[in-house]
Order: sequence, then structure tokens, then C-alpha cells
Amino acid sequence: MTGTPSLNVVNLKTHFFIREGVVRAVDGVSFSVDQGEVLGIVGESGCGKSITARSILRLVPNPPGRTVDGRIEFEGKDLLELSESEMRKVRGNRISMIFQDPMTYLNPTMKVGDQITEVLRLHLDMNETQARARTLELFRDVNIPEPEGRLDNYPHEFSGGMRQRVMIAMALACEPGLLIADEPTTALDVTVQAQILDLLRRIRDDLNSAIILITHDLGVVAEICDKVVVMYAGQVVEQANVYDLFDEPKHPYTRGLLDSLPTPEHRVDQLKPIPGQPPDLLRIPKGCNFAPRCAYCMQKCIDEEPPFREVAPGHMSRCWLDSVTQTAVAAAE
Amino acid sequence: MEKLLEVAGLKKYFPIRKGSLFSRETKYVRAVDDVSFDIHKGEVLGLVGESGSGKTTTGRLLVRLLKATEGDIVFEGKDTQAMTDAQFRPLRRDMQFIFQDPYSSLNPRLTVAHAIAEPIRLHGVATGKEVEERVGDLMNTVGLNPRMASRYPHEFSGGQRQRIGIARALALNPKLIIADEPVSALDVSIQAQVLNLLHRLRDEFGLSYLFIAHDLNVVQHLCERIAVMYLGKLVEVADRESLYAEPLHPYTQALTSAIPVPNPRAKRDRVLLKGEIPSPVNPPSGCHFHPRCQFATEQCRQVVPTLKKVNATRSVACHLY
Repeated sequence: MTGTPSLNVVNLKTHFFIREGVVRAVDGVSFSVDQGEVLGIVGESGCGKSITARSILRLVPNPPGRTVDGRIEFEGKDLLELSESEMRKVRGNRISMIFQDPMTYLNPTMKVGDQITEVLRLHLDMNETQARARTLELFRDVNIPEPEGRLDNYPHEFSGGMRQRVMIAMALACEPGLLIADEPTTALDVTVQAQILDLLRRIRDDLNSAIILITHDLGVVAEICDKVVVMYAGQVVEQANVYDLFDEPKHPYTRGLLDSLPTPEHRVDQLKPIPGQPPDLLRIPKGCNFAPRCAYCMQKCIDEEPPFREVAPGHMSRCWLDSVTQTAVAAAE
Repeated sequence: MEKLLEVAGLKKYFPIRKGSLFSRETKYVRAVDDVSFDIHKGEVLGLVGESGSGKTTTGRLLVRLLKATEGDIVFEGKDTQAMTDAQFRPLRRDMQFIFQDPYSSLNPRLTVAHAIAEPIRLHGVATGKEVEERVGDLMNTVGLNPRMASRYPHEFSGGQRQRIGIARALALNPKLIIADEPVSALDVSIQAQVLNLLHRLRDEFGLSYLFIAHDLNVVQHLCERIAVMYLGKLVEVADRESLYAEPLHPYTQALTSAIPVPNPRAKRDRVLLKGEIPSPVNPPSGCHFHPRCQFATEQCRQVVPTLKKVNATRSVACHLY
């Protein structure tokens, strides 16, 4: 069932205070995700998507990083107000996270089965026998073949795809209300990626969990997400449901991303890349962050920061071009 | 079309020792196992496969970064396998390599000018002032400002570093460029810039490429012909259009259907493969793909299929055809 909000992030700001100045890695990000919904956060390296995820779990190293403003509402509480020990009860229990590289997050000296039973005993107070039985069940849920034999293996005995399944099993151990997946398939081959995406889709449907999927791959977004947030240089530049975003991208950055993708459907000899590179986060431009690379840049874009506003029902964009002009622009192309 | 490169029966076995330190038993990783293909002049051949398929090893064998265990590599009619290293060296000018990781393939202590000039000096193509001019030209060609020549690699972004790698590869006017995943470390908007550059250079200099990648979308953008590799063997070679319209080999079918399409309305019949690529130390008997193949028969378990021509433009290694 969708419609019940699981997480609501309001005006989140996470900055890094370094010798050279202040890096505004996440600068006023707002979004919400409902139960049984997959929210995609897309953007290129350095846009702040991973820091946003880590800020939700309060995993940003401090110093140098600090969440300086905003609210993170989850199950009736503002996570930013919780004490560290209260927060520990949320992490891995009500909100779990899976990462791009499972090998870095699994303990290499511990049998994978024990790593999951540890979570169960810690958060759910299960005894050894119960925890082991539940772990076996979880291994079956994530389609690990011959799960009985695999419990006593070490992480290095698993392939990349299987390790990611172990991570997912661990993340699901406490049936979290929210699962955050940070580039979960980026290190995997396409055929294995397809298997993992299939698994995530099943988790959404069976457990009615909310999922935040962080990725740079618009193909993955189209495959699995219900709602999409596009980030650029620390800000959300566009937000819409997945159909509207791909049918009618409003922000020039989103449009640029879609145009630079090689796809079997629009095969052209020349791709249309976005010129230039993302800005240095220490030297953010005064007006719109995307203005220096934008084909539709006007004087106003250089002088004033555009507001994040609704340009069509349920479709938000941070751009000075209004929807009427944008339609004209699209028609002129 | 004239053939630039002919590869026949190429094999690379890496020995590994199993068991105790003193055990005599040696096993082999069959990274490349009997691979044959040609590249014509001016052609872009794509070599696709997942990790562990042997595509990178194949690329390295061609330029002799690795020595082949067996097989022939004929470049412009000359059999390179019979050559000594000294005899092979002049051919290196004609075959250049672009690496995946622009961060680790550039020496951090050399300025960009120095890095690009290195091959020119080593092969004695130009001297003195000419070198400097040539470096400036090359930087312009790949879209870098020649004023940045005295900077060091760390001062450049990933996309710019890949451009430096490309300038270096072009420095000796090669005929064939082997590009190993040249854009997979780059963000999409930058990736498109580099793909366009590679496309333009090919037209400008009449280059041929062997383009190695795991991303079928990227491959189909640049390559006229595509070879699909699985566990050390080619399973299918076809022209781009027919490969995407009608993949023949069950592995190619699974691979093409697994690519995420940036269109949420795309309804697709996905062939979801079971399991993962097996170890090349102990490849399955018969057809290497049979344990994951939904059409596998007894014949597939026992007989290794060979790559056979099914029509003028394509061949496939599968007992179904």
C-alpha cells in the first residue's frame, strides 16, 4: 500500500568545514518517500546523493562534516533530534542501508551467518537458535542457493553478486521500514544487476518497505523507481514521478543527462553531451548552480538563484524557465 | 575491405598452483581460449563481455602487453607471434592502447606535455621544437587547452585525464587503437563527450578501434560489428543492427535483455539468467554457457560448439544453429 509517508526530509543541509572553506555538499534538500515506494536519487559524482543518504542515518564523519540545518522525519520522530544511543536503535533496525561495495562492509574475519545473527540478537533480542533459523529464512528470501551450507562461509568465498545478497539479507533482518541502497548494482555485471533489481522490486512489494535507491544510472531508475529526485551540485533540481520525468523532463540538466545517454532506441552518430563539468563545491556560482553549463542560460540565471517550484502537477523543478517557455523550447528543438 | 588485423586460435592460459607449496600439480586459468576474429581497416569492432570473460586479456595480447600461449596475431599481413620483441617494437607505433582508469595510467610526476611527448621522443618521431608543436596539436585535437600543458595529472578531472590518455595514444599516428573500457569510469555527461571525441578522431585519422566494454549501450553507439565473449570464448559475432534486433546466442539474448533501458514504459521480456559466470579454472564441459542456459541439451553438456557462420555478417557458437 502506498500513500503513507515513511520518511520526510525537509531542507537538509550537510556541509563540510575544511581548511579551504565550506563545502556545501548537501544544500537544502527536501523529499519524501512513502511505504511501498521506491524513490530514486540520481546524479553524477559529487552531486551530494550519497552524503544525503548518509546524513539520514547520521553517518557523516564529524568533523569535517556536519548537518547544519533541516529535519528528517521518520516514524513520528525527527532523527536529527535523537541522542546517539536512540539513533543506534534506528540504524540497522528501522532503517538499513546497503552499499556499492559489500566487501568493504562485511567483516572479512567473521562467518556471514554470524554477522547476520549478531544483528538479530542485538536488535530483536533473539536467542542463538531463533536467530540462526531466521538467518536461514533470510538467505532463502534473497535467493542464495543452498543456504544451509552458505551460513558458515566467509565473505571472500562469495562472488560479488552473492555478497550483495548477503548485505541485502542483513539489511532486511529486522524488516526495516526504510531501506537505503547506495549504488547497489554499480559494481555488478548487467546480468547480475538484473537479478538484484528483481530482488529489490520483490522486497518493495512483499514487505511494503520504502526504498531509497541512489544511482547514477538512469536506466536503473526507469527500471525500478516510482518517484525520482535529480540532484546537481548539492541541490535537488527536479522531482517527479518516474513517467513524468522521462516523458517530460523539465530541468535542462535532466534533459541533458537523458540526451547524453547512448541507447539502442535513439541511435545517432553524435551524442549530445552536457558541455563543461560540475562546479567546484567550494566555489558555487551565485545564481543557478547549473547556469555555466546550461544551453538556455539567461541573465537572470546568473544573478539569482531559481526557486524550487511546481511546474506541473506533482512535478517540481529548480529553474527560471517557466513551463510555457519550456514547452516552446522543447518544440523548437 | 582490407584486413588490418587477423586473430586466429588465440589462447592465453595463466598457470596457478593449487594445493600445497610443493605440489607439482599446476592448473590453468583459461582466460582466453581459442578466439578468432578480424578487424578491417577503418572499422570499429566492439568486444563485450562481463567481468572474467577474457576481453581485457585479449586486448593486452594484441599489443603484447601479455604473451599469447598459442595462436596467431597477424597485423597488416605480418605474423607478430613469430617476431622477437625487438622486431615487434616498430609495430607498437601502429597499435596503441587506451586504458580504463585515467587516474592510474598517467604518471603523477610527469606534466601533461611530458606524458604526451614521451612516446614521440621514445620512437624518435620528432625532436626539439617539433615535439612541443606536436604536443600542442594533439592537445587541441582532443579538446584540451594547450596552455594546460605544464600542469600535472591531478589537476585534471576524470574526463580530461581520459583525453590526455587519448592524446598519448594518438601521438604516433597509430592505425589501430585498442580502447579498454575507456569511458566506464566517467559520469554520463562526460562519457558522451569522450565517445563523441573517439568517433570524430576515427573519421579524422581513419583509425580502426577494438573497443572493449561491458556496457552494450556504449558499444552499440560506436561499433559497427560486435563480438560477445563469455568465459574465454567468443559466443557471437554480428553486425550491430542484427545483434540488437535479433540476438542469436542465448547468452547474448540474456545480456541484451538485462540492459536497463532509460524508459519506464518499456515492457520487456526479460531473460533472467540464473547464477553467475563460473570459474575459468574449471569451466563447464561442452558449451561453457550450458549450466545457465535454458535451452541446454545433452549435446551442449558434451560437445564444445564452434563459431560458425550463419549468414554473411554473423556467426554464432551454439548448437541451436
